[in-house]
Amino acid sequence: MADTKRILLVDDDDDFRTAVQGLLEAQGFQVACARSGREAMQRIREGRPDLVVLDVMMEHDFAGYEVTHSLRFSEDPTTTRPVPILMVSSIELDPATRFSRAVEAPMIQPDLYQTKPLDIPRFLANVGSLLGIAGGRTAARA
Amino acid sequence: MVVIDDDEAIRISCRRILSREGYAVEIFERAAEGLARVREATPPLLLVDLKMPEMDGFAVLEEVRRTDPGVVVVVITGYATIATAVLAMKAGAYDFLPKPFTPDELRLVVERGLERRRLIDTSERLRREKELAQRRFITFVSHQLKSPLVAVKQYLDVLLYTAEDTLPPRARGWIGRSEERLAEALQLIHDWLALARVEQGGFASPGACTVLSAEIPRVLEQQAAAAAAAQVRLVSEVPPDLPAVRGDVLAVVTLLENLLGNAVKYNRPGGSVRLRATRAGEGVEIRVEDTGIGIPADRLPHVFDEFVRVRTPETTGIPGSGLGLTICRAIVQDLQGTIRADSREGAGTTFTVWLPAGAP
Repeated sequence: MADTKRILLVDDDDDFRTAVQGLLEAQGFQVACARSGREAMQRIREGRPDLVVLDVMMEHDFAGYEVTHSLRFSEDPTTTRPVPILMVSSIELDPATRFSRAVEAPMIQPDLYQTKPLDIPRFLANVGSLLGIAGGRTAARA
Repeated sequence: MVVIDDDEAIRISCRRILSREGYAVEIFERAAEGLARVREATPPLLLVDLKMPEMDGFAVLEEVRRTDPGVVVVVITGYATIATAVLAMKAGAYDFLPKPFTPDELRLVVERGLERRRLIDTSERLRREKELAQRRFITFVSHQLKSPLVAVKQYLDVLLYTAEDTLPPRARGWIGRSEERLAEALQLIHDWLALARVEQGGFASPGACTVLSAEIPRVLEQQAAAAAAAQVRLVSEVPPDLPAVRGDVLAVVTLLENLLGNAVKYNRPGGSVRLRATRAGEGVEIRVEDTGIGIPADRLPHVFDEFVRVRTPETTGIPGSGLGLTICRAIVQDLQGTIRADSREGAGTTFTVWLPAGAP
């Protein structure tokens, strides 16, 4: 099990987290959870996950954007490995589209964006592509 | 503040009296120089003599109103006739000061003018704050409304995805129905949010324009799955040299999505939807024509109203919030275009939109 991919699931809605954690664990992933942007940063510092699944509106309206920005710009890329981010939110537009006139928008743009409720096949495909695997139960332990 | 007067004695005494009150005062003999300074520094207050050689106070007033409407203008009038003062006020001056005046009269007029300026600033600030608060409120409410529905839907989705085989048929059926009802509620929130945004307008900001020949194929592509499922054929005629139309891409795309979505939804198996865009006057006409169920004549005048849904045996079971066409109308109005519906019950409906051309 040493090669099991580790996913950090960040969302302030307990039920949403429970459901998605159940889904990901059923696919063979190891899932850790955080319920705020602040907790997410702490978890990431403790041990880097292979992927962050990140909500936007948590302790404040832009918490997820803040985490993205911190991971991209406050860390030293020579000492830390970049963590891919799959942003999931009920906001229909990804940051680049939502703030299309703001020069800062690319700084909070995740690797992939998906709206809630999650379309499961698409979600698993996104997770798989960011982890560099084809997706699915067996591939998770590749 | 700025004082423009060709009479040196007036200029000097204005500066002396007002400087003593702690105001920063710049004085100008020539109107053109004073105007240049106003444009550069946009002072809260301008005192200007009405009667000067070269350029009189009225011309200065007109120019300031045009270029810096926030600057409060007080006119100094040498011939203190009510008629001249009234003319100046009509032209946009806030107050007038008849010559000769005492230091107290000057101070009073200046204080009143500055008070006026503070009121303008405050109301502008309040207007902006209100707009921002409204936008935040919409985002917050829609998030709060969506969150519980999203959580429930996610549980059901995961349940079906991971354990569908183990569920008894009736449980599967009820979960399926629950999913449909949740989708209805989410669609309603989505449409309400879109309408609230659209009603704030602002899609026609300078430079905002949409290239239809690029966007229409994308919207058609998006609708392809729904059309295939409904066995409806999608056809489009869009000349590649169509001029760009005015308006934010997201707004114009929302408009097209709603019209095409309806044309597919209220159609019949084997039917078709035809989208045609043509140059028309100083803009573009977009016609979305379907061979669907049509709209009864007595309902047609109301289709753009909020929450209006045509209820006939044929529309039963078609989901919708009754906000789609309201959103379309709000977008078209914001872009200063027109929208019209023509329909024959049982034969089909045509929506005709005209949007003004926009410069890319």
